[in-house]
Amino acid sequence: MDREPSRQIPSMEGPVGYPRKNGEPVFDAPWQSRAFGMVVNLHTRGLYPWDEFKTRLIGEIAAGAESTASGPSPGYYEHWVRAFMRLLADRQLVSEEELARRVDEFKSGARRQVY
Amino acid sequence: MSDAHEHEHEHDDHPWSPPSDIEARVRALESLLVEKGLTTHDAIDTLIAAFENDLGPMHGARVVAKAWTDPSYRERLARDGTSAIAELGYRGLQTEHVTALFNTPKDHHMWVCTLCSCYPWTLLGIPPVWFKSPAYRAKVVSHPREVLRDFGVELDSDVTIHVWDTSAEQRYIVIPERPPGTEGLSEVELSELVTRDSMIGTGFPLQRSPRS
Repeated sequence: MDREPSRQIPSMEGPVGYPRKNGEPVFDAPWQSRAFGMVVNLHTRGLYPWDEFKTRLIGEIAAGAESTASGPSPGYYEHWVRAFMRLLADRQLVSEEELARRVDEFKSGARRQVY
Repeated sequence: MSDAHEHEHEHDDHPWSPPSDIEARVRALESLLVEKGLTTHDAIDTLIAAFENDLGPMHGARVVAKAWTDPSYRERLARDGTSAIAELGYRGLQTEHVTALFNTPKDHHMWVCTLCSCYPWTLLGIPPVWFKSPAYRAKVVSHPREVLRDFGVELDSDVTIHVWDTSAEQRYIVIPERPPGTEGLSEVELSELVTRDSMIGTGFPLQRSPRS
C-alpha cells in the first residue's frame, strides 16, 4: 500500500523540502504552483511512485551550486521542473523533442493560451 | 480558484509579452499533459487548492485538538459533529453530515468507503491513493486487524475494532486518544501531532511535537 501524497510530500525536509509557511506550500509565482500541482497530481493518478520524482529532485538540487543544507534552495522550483521533465522523458510520457517544440511555441507567441 | 487560473486568463486582455524560459516550460508541460489525457487543468487547480488554501488535514487536526482540550466542545462534537465542526468555520458539501468517532482504550474506530471514495476533503484534504484502492476497501471490512498491521498499527487483542462505511451523505472523523505526556501543549501544538491517518483510523497521532 502506498502512503501518499500528503504524508510523503510534507516529509521532504532540508534542501528537498518545498518552501512552506505554517505547513502550507508557498509559491512565489503561478508557474510554481502549476508545477507543484502537476507533479503531485500525476503521482496521485498512479503514473509514478513518489520516490521516482524525489530521487530526481535530489539529484537536481545536488547538482545546483546554490543549494544549502538548512532549507529550500533559492532555485527550488527550477530544480523541481527539471526533475519533472527528466521523469516524464524517462517514463516516455513526454519526450524532450516534443517538449522543446512546445516550449518554442510558447516563447514565440505561436501558442499563447494554456487553457 | 487559483491565482494561476486567473493569471492565464488575463492574457486575453493584455498585450502579449514573451514568457520567461521557466514559464514557457511549465506552460508547455501542462498543455502537453492535458492534451495526452494524463491530467486536467481542473484536477491541478483542485490539488493546489487542497494544499494551498484548504490544506485539509490541518482542519481535521484542529477539530481533534479542540476535542482534546475543551471538554464542552468535545461534548458538542459527540452530540452533533456537523455543527461542532461548522463552529470552526469548516462547512461545505463534503462536511455536511459528519459523525465524530471517539477512540477509547477499548474501542478503535476506522472508516472506509466500500462503494467508491467518499472522503471529507474539507477536513482532510486530498484522499490518499490507498484509500481508493480495492484492496483497502475490501479488506478493511473483513480483516481490519490485518489492514491495521499493514499500516504498522498493532492493537491489543482486547481492543474492539469498529469499521464504519462512509457514504455521500455520511462522513466520519476519528478522534484518536490524546497522546500521553502532552499536558503542557497548546491547542496549536497539539494539532501538529494529529496525522491524517489517525483521523481515518489507520494510524495514531505523533507522540511529541515535531518542533521539539
